[in-house]
Amino acid sequence: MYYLTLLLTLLFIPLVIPLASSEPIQLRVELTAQSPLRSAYLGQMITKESTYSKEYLQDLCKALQFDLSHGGFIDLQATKEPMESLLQSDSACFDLKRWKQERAEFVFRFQVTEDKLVLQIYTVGSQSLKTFSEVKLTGDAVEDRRIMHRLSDKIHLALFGIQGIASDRILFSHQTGLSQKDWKAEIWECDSDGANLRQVTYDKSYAVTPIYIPKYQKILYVTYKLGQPKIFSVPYRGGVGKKAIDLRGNHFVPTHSKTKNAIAFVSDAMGRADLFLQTFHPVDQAVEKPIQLFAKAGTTQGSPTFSPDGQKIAFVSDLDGKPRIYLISSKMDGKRDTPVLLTKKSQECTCPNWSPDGKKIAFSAKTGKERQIWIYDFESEQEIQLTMGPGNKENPSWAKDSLHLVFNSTDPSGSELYLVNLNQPECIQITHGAGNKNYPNWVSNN
Amino acid sequence: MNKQRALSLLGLALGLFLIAGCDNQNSDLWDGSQSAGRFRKSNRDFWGHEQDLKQSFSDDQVAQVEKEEFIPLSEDDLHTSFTETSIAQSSEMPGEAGSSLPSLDRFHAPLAALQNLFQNLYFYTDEYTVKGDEQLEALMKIADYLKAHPDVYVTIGGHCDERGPQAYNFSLGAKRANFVRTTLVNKGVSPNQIFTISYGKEQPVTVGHAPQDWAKNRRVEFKLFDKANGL
Repeated sequence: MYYLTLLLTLLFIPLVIPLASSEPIQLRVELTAQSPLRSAYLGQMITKESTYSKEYLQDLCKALQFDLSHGGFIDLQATKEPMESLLQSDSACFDLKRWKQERAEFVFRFQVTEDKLVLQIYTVGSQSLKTFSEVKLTGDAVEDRRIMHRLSDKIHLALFGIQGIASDRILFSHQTGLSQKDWKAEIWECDSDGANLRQVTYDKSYAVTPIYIPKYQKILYVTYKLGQPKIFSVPYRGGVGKKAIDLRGNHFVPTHSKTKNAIAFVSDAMGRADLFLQTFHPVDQAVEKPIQLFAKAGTTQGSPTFSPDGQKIAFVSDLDGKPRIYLISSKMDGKRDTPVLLTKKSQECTCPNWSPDGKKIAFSAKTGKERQIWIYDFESEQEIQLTMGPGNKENPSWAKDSLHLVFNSTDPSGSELYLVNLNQPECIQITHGAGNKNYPNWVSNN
Repeated sequence: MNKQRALSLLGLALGLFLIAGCDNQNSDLWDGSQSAGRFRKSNRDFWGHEQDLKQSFSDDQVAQVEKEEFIPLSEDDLHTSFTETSIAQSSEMPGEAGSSLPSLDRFHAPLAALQNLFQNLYFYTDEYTVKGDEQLEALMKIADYLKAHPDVYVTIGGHCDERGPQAYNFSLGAKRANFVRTTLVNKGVSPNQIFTISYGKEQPVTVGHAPQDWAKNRRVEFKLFDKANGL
């Protein structure tokens, strides 16, 4: 009996060890041991006979503070009275010794004279000073906030060689009517910090999953205004939406490839949820027939996303029982390609979004009781958990820098949009107020 | 003696851990487990060893249970969906130029006389097939009605509960609606009489967060338009 027990124990040990090592990597967003953030000090605005009130300028300063704090490269120090006093002096503001003591690598000094704003950036290490051309403030809060966002992007480009994303906007579906009798959602957009909200569609129906097509400055979205969900296109600046796809049945989750000039979507035209591809000319609408790219009896497809070169599509399928993410070629020659499984470890993987640099796919996966945002890294072929904590996080969308993501997180109180970047662990809530905000998508003209 | 007992317990604990940790991705094992209660494909046990297995019930007892409590699936049905065929949607685009039908938002909830017939049908979690004798019977009656009234058009709205992923649930809602549509068509209803609409989890009938709320939301709903009467 003793030897039998020992034998069983020895047999089980090698089987246990592989299971123990299959735990998913729970990674804080900082992908390197050393923080990539550089310490900086942002001074309060120095005003000389300013046209605008102190409060107005403070609001603009807060907008810039948000952009710099969450840009992924800067760690802003807290405001300190002695340093504010120092910055007031034109001759002593860039005292090398004092700034070295504060361990600041960059110092931002703003001056507003009448309606003009001038920014100076002092780099402590090299003791160099860069002065940006003066910018004229308009007095319009919406426009002046945008000026601050553009300034933040210029700062990132000047200091780190990477264009910031602060001046890009975010499309999303805003659900305001929640009951069956009052079922309403329209497409809205906001700044990257959630401000400057603008309603885009006025369908008086239910609109979801917007995407922006930069080449034609149009928005594709799904609307129920004809009864069945159909893909419509509408000019970015507003106007009447037109049906974009001429195909029977329900259409969902469109995505666009600017390199291929095509859209991929899911439709039940053939009585199943199949993957379709359509060459797309928003100017004169689609002129060629949609192609049924992938279908298999008994299976369900969802949420396609193109690779940046347009040659591949990652999409969701329940081919092996649970929804996972697969890769398929986007060639349109009519021959069905065999999908290749991408996400092997994560459970219930949905809503993939391919990064613009082509190196990563963000997706949502069931993680314990909640859905979290994960990243599939093509270089390491690993699935890495990005977010943690309460709330079901879904529909990630990459910004053009392949560093920032926007997604929606849902809990019993509702759904809001959050911003996160790969260099900073915090997810920042950017929308508030009544109604559920879902299916965010970046608006970028790059 | 204590050492022996400790090793025995360790061996047992590790064995239980191994079995509990398995995630059933081995499809052969899963198929075997599904059918293990009724079909014995071979006399091999879990480890593949030949065994002289004893049946828990006699063949007559098993047949009696099947007859009273459920409709048994055939060997083939264990591996395929109940309705494997899919049927293309109607080419009619209600409400659009050239269509003889109004927009689908003019379709309405069943009038009082038909409410009992066109009742909601419900689904188990993550499933898209209608189950239960009562529900299947209801579906057959709907088919009979639609065959007898070819001027009555119907939309089937497929819905999901709050727990599933948002975007993917559009596909699951479509799957549920299409299952019902395919079943009706297979029973002789014209495919052009039926339109599916997937709502995913975007239109719950109740916003509660308890299992009973989820069960109410996993449904298909019917809406009708009587072309003959314009209603």
